[in-house]
Amino acid sequence: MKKDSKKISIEYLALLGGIIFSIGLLILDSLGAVSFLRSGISFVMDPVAYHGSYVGSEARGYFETFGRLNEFRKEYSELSMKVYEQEVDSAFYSTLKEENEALKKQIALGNIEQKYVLAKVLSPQENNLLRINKGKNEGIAVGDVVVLGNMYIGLVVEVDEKGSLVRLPSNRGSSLEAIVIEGEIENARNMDGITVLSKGVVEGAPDGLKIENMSMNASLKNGDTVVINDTRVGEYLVLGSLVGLSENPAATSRTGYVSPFFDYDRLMTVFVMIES
Amino acid sequence: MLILNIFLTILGLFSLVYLESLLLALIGIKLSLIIFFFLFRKVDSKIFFIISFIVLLVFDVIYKLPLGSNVLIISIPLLLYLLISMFVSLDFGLVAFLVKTLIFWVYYIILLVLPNLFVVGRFGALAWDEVLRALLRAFLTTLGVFILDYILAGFRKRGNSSQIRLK
Repeated sequence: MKKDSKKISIEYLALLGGIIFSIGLLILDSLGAVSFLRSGISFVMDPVAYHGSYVGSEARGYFETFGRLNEFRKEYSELSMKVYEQEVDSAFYSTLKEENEALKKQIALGNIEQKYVLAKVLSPQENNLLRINKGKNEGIAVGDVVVLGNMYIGLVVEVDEKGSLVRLPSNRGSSLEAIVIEGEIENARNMDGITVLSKGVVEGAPDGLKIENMSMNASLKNGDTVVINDTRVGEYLVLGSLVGLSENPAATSRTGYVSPFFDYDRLMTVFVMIES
Repeated sequence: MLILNIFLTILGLFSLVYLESLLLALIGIKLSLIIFFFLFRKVDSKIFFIISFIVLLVFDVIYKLPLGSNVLIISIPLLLYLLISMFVSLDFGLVAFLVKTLIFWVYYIILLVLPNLFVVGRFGALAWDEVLRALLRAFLTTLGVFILDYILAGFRKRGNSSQIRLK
């Protein structure tokens, strides 16, 4: 019993001594008198403590990840939804941008005296026939010409109330009179002062858009521009550039292929020239 | 033998600093507190207080507190422990567990308030969520002390059950 009380009094004394000594140290430290001690301990122990703390933080990060898996799943779902929404918005803006560019092209290059109906292309495109979302309700009729700017797209072959079918020049039933002019597409913007090299007939063929019956004497070359000049179309519209020109001196006429300036698969907005 | 003891003490000090930092970052509990209250009255008082004092000075430097801060902070729960232990046995049992949890809770609350006073001269602000978190830490710390006690109880020999001898 006596031993226990002695032990307790030693503990109190030690505690009291520790407190007094600590207060002394506190004062000395505030005066900077024990900075050497701090520096020494810091030099040795700080890296150890830092590494321990780093490992602990990393481990905590892992555990927190596991603990918050459900939250992450929810967040992932929300983010996925947001991404989808963004994609929809982006697609919408792309459509608007494309439409805007098409309109600009139409204003810059189209015949301003003509009346146009803006139409959207519906996919998929099959047999080189293009479906558009405008029809009789908008005044479209069979035989109307579909353009984009001053580029020829096709002729309307079927019309419903709210949709139409357009025959592309690459369709096998398509046959159009055309002229070949010197130089590239820039020359065709203003049809005045151009050099017509030859006439020809553009037909849809299995291996592409074929142009036939071109003059043997004309100084044709690949890259020249093919312009539609057909009574059904009614005005000069650019189709594409001449490629794959035949070089047979025994032939009575020259043939070649037309590379359209548009990829018809990528068309989104077109304009239908309607009777005013 | 003395050299070996000194070497082991230094090694233990490094391990304690490392594990203390690790556990503090991982679950927010202070291993030094667990060790301190686990070894209290189990090893020779002089050795215990001298080593504790050195360890607490090291922690002062690590936590960038003025030297002596940790000794002053821990003296409050220790004083509480000494006072309560005069009336209640704090070795085993539910009461001991609850009292120790309370003491550690006080310690963790003090830890939120006093270091600020030592560093900037004003008490730190307390929020309810921090106080509740301190309670959780206190519970875990008590659990740690009790686990160590039970592990030690497994190695006890008859006749010297309450002391670990550091020769």
